[in-house]
Amino acid sequence: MRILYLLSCMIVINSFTANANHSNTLTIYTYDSFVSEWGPGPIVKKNFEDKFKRHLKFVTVDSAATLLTKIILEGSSTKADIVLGLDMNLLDEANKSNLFLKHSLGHLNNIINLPIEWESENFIPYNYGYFAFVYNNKKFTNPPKSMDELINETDARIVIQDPRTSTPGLGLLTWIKVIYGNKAEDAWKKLNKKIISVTKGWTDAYYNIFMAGEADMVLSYTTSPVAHIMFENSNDYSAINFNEGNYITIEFAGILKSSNNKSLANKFLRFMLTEDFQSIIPSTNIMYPVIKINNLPEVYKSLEIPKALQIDPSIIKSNKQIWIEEWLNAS
Amino acid sequence: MLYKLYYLVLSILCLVLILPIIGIVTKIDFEISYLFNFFNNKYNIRIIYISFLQAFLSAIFSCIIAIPFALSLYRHKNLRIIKFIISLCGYAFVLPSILVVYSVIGIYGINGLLNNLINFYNLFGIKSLFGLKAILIAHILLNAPFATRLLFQNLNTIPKNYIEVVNSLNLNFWSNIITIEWPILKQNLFSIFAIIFVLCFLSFATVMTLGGGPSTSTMEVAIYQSTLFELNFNKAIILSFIQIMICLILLVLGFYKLRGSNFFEIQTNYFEHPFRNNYFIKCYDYFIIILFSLILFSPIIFIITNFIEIIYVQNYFFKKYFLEAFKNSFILSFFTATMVTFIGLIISILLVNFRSNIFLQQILFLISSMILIVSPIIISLGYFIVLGELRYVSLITYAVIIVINCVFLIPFSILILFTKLKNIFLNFDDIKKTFRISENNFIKIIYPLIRKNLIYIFSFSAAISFGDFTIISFFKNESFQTLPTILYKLITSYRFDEASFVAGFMLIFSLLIYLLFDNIFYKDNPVNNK
Repeated sequence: MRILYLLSCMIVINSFTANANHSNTLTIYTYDSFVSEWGPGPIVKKNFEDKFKRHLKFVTVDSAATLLTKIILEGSSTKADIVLGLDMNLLDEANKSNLFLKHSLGHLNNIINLPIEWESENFIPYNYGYFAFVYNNKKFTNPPKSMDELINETDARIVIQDPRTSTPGLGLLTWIKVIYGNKAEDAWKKLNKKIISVTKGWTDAYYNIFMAGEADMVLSYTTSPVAHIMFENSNDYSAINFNEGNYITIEFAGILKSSNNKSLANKFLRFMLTEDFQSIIPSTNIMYPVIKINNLPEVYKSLEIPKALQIDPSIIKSNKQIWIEEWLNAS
Repeated sequence: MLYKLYYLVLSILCLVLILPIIGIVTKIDFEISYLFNFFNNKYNIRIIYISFLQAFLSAIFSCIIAIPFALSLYRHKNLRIIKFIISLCGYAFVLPSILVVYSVIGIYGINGLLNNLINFYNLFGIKSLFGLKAILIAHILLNAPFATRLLFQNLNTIPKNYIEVVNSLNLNFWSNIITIEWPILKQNLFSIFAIIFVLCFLSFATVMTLGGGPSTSTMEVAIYQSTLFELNFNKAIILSFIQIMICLILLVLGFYKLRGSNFFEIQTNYFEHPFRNNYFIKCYDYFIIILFSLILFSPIIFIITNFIEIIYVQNYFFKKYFLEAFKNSFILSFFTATMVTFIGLIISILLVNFRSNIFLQQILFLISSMILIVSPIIISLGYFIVLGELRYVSLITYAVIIVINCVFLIPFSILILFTKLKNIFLNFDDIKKTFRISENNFIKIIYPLIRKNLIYIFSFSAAISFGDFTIISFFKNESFQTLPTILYKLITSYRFDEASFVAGFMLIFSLLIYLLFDNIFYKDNPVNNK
């Protein structure tokens, strides 16, 4: 009984200390892996707090899509000042939610260095990457050079993610749409014969299936091999740049209208585009930084940059459901 | 007094259940046309069919495997190793689904242990593991041991005088099974089937990863998608309503049977099974026990061997994040287990006491197991909405996580406790009336008889919530990490070795808690006291 009492006291105290210091704190909602011990979160927090002498607090959900859901559900009562980690597929929905403030950074395209023009007035990008198929170059020796080759010629067991529940999954859906347009359903029919599993998220596909050797290829990012080189010293993994180009994914952050801390929030967005923030990205979030940085890890320099493909976010928003139906019919 | 308690418990349960529904309802505007569109879509019909098929097959196979296994184990129940196997049987059921998926692929996959040994993929021309067969393998590995354990416990209620009758009538092996053992097994077989069916029907991560594509999907996936990704609560409500109806019918049938089954006197006296020393039967039994143990416990063996390989190379034990997550998981599972045991006991006592008032009994039964069939996503989302500003208080967040964990475990605690309590009450009811023993004192008196079951419920709940992966994403915050969330993060950050370490640790620790409580803490087992 006494142990129970002690434990409950511990929790109560814990919860009070966690809520202290509200006024000086900038609250950021983001996805899980950003703030994990191995993600950029802890270093970003330290750099920001050292520089501005204010507290930074991260609140996490498990994926980018649930991030927006959470904000919309909380509405104006949200405690968040900034939402960080939305991607292009969610841009239109985020704009329409009317919860976000216009940012105050002028001439953004002069500061940042993206393969495409950045048009949003509400959001500021902080990293980007390309979707790609990753394979083990020791086991799978004849990788396709194009999407066409993959669909029509290559004999491989492929694992992808579900476009209804995951960002890369939706990325492949739009990728195939850019390349094949009205013939996307036929392309899917052929591709589906090679797909052995469609998982809920990236984790299951990459770790449980691809790394277990169950699939020859997995839908991931062009930068995935970098992680294997940096963390495992292994050169066994490669990503394919397709002749048609690879679909680009850009992650961004924005300030909420309901924030009581707007000036500090704006400072954070500016901070986000400095070397202090950007130089952390390549080695922790395994993505490209959006500005030119001096200490880009060597392994990145050896990566070939693919041609960037993209569909306008508003077109994605209005057609997503139809494309998903199409994909379901082809399966 | 009892009535007061009854209505108190009932209203708390209703509140727990209704609160999230209120939350969701405030966010929907319902259109009947949606229902028509839903059923006009071929894909929707297909996933309902697949959900049904895989759940049905999983439940049937689990039961079919469990019967011979339980019988073989029962014939040799006095062996020490059998006790251990029965313990493990309970444990297999609480394995976190991510570990099951991981080990199913690791053992039965194309690059898995088994295929590397005998190359059966080439032999039989199998292209890949994924699809219905993989789902069935995973579900059977999870549920067959659970069914075995429940059936074994049922067999244990066969009274000693029945065995004496068997001996004096000189019944042969088969007549013994048909006249004595089968009727006992039959008692709860359908309930077990129903429970497993519902669990598989609601299974989410396993089906999605091992199903091999959207054509082998379940309704839970669609609910997940429409709530979290489309904010389409109408669709989510319709889907979960259909899901609830299907599960409800089965649960009602299942529990109806449970209630209506024969009563047997409970006596766990020591006796030798009349056929345990027959040479052929002995060989057959040992064969079955070894074979089924190897297959059914393969995930546990697989993860432990992986774990040993990793700690051989590097030691991750004393990292700060790991200890922190470990502490949180521990507190969470301790509170959950205590609550589940306590509430489960109260509900079971009420259920037994109201056995003459079938209506009230059934209402309580339904409400308490209702929670099991409402999608966890719906419940957590509902709580998130209904809590409003309160959701930012971390103490309340802890409480909600514990409540959600609890409500999903209570039905199991009832399943474990109810039959036992019922038999005890029927046995001692006269004594209770004759001596006018009050309800409280009666519970104190019978406590030694149910202690074993209570401890089992505790260890079961502690283990399951320790490795639980459904800490609801809405209620997360940076400072609150548990081992399952750490595992997930490690994988997303490409730290695969560390991830295997955490997975292995989770398994071994929860296994230890489980085995400790399940074996050591009850020494008053009549079997040992002869």
